[in-house]
Amino acid sequence: MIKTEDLKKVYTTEEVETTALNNVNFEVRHGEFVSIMGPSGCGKSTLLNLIGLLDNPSDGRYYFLDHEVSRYSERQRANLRKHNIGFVFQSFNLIDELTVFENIELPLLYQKVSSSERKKRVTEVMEQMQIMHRKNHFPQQLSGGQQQRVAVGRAVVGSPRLILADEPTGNLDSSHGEEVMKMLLDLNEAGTTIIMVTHSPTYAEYGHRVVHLFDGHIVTENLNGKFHV
Amino acid sequence: MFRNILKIFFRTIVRHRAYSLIHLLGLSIGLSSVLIIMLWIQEEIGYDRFHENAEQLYRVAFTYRPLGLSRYHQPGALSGYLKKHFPEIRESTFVSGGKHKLNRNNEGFSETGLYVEPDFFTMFSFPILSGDPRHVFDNVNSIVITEKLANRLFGQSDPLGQIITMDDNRSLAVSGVLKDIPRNTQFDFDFLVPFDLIAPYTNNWNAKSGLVYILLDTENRVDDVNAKIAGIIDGIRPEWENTLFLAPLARDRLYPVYGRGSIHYIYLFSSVAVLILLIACINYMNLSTARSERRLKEIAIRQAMGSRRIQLILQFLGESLSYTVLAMIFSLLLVEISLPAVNQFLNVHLSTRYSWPLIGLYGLIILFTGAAAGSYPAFYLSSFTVQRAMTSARFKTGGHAAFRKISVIVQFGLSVLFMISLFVINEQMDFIRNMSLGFDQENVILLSAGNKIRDNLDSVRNRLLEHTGVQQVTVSSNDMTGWTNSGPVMWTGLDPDANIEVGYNWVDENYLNTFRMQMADGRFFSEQFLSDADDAFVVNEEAVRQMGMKNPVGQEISTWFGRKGRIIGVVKDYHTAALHEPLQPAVLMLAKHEPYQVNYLCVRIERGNVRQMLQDLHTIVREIVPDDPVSFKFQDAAIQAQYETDERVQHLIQFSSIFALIVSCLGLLGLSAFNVQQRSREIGVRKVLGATVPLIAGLMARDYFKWILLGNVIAWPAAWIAMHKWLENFSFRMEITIWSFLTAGLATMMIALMTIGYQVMKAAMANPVVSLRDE
Repeated sequence: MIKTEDLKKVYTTEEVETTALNNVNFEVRHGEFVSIMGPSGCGKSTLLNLIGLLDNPSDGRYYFLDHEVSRYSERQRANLRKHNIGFVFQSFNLIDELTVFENIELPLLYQKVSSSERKKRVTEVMEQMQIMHRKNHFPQQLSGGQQQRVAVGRAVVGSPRLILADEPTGNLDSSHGEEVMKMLLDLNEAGTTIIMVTHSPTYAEYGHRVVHLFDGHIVTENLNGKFHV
Repeated sequence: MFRNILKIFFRTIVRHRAYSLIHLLGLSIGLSSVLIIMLWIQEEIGYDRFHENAEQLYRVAFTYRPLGLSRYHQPGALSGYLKKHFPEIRESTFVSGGKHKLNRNNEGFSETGLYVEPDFFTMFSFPILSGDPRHVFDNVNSIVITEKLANRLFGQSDPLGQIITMDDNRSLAVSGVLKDIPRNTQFDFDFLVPFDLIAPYTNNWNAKSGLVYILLDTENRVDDVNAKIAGIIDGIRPEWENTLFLAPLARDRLYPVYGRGSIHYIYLFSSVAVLILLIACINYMNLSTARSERRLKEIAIRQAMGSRRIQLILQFLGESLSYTVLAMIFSLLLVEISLPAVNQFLNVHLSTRYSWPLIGLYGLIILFTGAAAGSYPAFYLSSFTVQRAMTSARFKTGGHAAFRKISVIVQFGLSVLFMISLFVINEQMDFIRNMSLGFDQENVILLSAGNKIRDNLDSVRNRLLEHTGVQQVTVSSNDMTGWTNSGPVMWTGLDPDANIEVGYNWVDENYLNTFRMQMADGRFFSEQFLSDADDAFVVNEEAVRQMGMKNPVGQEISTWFGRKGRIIGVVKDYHTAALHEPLQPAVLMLAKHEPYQVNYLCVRIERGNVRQMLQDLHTIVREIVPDDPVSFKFQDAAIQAQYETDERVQHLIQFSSIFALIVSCLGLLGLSAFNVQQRSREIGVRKVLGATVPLIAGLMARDYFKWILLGNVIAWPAAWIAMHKWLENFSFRMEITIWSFLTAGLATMMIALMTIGYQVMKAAMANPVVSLRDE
């Protein structure tokens, strides 16, 4: 599903040139659950942004669903993204001015899904995430766990093939963290590919594979043995 | 999607009330000033365009070739001549008029009337309420009155066929009633009477006694017609040296053939409105980009969800457009409410008449304002890549800081420009008010003299003088607001090429004392010299200068109308016209043998109860001429009225500088609040390291101080040029001093500092623990 060859990302400011990723070769197959670990500043988030088509690499190639997309235009990337990728962030990133329902609905609006269909799918997702009773609340009226459930709901409502989760449990206590991990596992069981960045070795274990990043390089890839082709 | 964006828009407004209010207020004030000025422009442009034939109506003007001057006055025979000889001219009318005395049941009224030809009723679109417009003047002894006059004269009863006496010597039957004439026309009258009544004296080529209007059969032949009529006067009165041409009626208000057309004010007022709107737009851009950090998360999320850049741009443009629509609604209300006050303040008569073109124009303004205000935020905010926006919760809006600086500089530059203009204009207006005119304009009442008063001049004068409150009485053919009788003067030694036009005025022996003027040489008219009434002239110093006389007293001069005599004295210069005009050379003579030249009785009264005085004067005049209308004016008020347009500009600039300053301060308020918020961490760190409150307040204020100073530097030369140009309107003007500039600069600085003061102090005095913790 995803394959990178010599992927490189360099950030240039006026005085400093920082290499965030250096010659990263990385592959994820359909249905995989991959955890990425590494210390702060090792390039985890950069890698996730490149994979998520939020940014273009400075060098190297990136195959997404067998298309070489590293030189795609903003428009082409947006198109691929909205139909294939769901995002979950550490800080939830819900829009404060929108209700739970409206936040989950947002990706569908960009996919131009009809109103009745949107209502149906959002309702389904809310039931799945057990936040139906919070439908008309605004994010700041919810607990952290609830907010992250909304965020996960928003990530899955468009039925993406790939979910990118950037420290989804980072801002949650352990019980809420478990809850979110459970959801991701369920989604993975149902066939969604998941790539998750985390600091927590425990949660990393949920993945089939743990990739360790250090200073922009992939250091090790541990197969957890849970993956069967 | 649209609903989603709209939802966010409204919820943001509600959640961030203060900022939203600043946005809305700023835009509303900017839009209101545009709306008001548009109403005014609509009024000005609409002048005489309501006539069905507006495009084919012309006023016949002429150019006096030796001086290249154009004017409108024409001889009475021209109208008939044109219609007879030029088939292109379908209809034409001569128009002349003035105040006339109308009597109905022994009650006298002084009303404005015009002598017109029958074509008048078909050429112009003044709706007739009763009577047949084609036949109202079939009988020469007819009069057509306006609805208002009809009510005054006849109340509820039917005016048609009723008899009105005009000037005590004509009985006229009412043959038609016109709907009251609208304000936006150059015609001003209460009644119309047939030209045929005065044709015996006027229908000739002897004198230019009125105006001629024509209706062309098709509009595109105006150049041909101009070519044909140009030489008419040369064939009849070659000595006049006049070239005729047609001046389109619909353009008259904006582009008159002489004097200042209102197009100048349209340009001036429009640029002022656009500038205020610009300040408001800059405000919007500034605040929304400054607060963009708050929006970055949303932008990032939308991008992650698959939004394209163009969609984000549209969203932000949509927001500014929605703000503009809200502000427009608010402004329309504001204008509706404030219009009476605005009318009074600017001395105009605006009304909110909405027409489709106007509504269309409002739409365009909304689009333009929305786009202008939203463009920068839209392109700026949408340019963030999702990952830049997402990862840097606290990134620096670096390049944008330059824009923010420039905007403050521009806004305050404009405010300073307005303020300096205001000070200079105020000074000039004070200068005008306080300048010595060479006579004492105060406490002089001018009583318009009709025929009956002229016939009883001596008894009216004597009776007035019996009143203890009356100090002096004199007569004059002109008041001090521009003399109408002017022409060449001749003397021995006159250079035949010189073109000296002097003003002529008929007075009596008390003129000098009544107006408290002073002699420079010789003596004034005196009853002791009986011959003064026949052959004596008093001139002013300017006349002596222009004629180039060494010893004027005793010199012989003669007027263009044939009066000859000697100069017996020179009066010190005095201003017979507004200070826009240079001093006019003046020639005075006694009116004793020409009482018909007397138009005013000038009464100098004691300072005191003016109302009582007017009533007494009224009673006295009424005793002698019982059924004559009595009309008074105050000399000082009449003089002041000449500066009406200047006062309008003064008020406009007052109004604009206040608006500009309010809007700029609103922007500054929002900006400083934001800035303080953004720098709270820095302030916290500084305080922890030992910075004191004044040090921090100074640090925060320094930037604004710098920008506003720079705004001043830019505004000063611009203001100097603008004001220099404005002052050129006046022949008599004060010097521009540095003080206006310094005061405006200091004032804006103070106001700006007060605006940001609260925010700055709040930030400086905040507990650093709080700011460091919650970051």
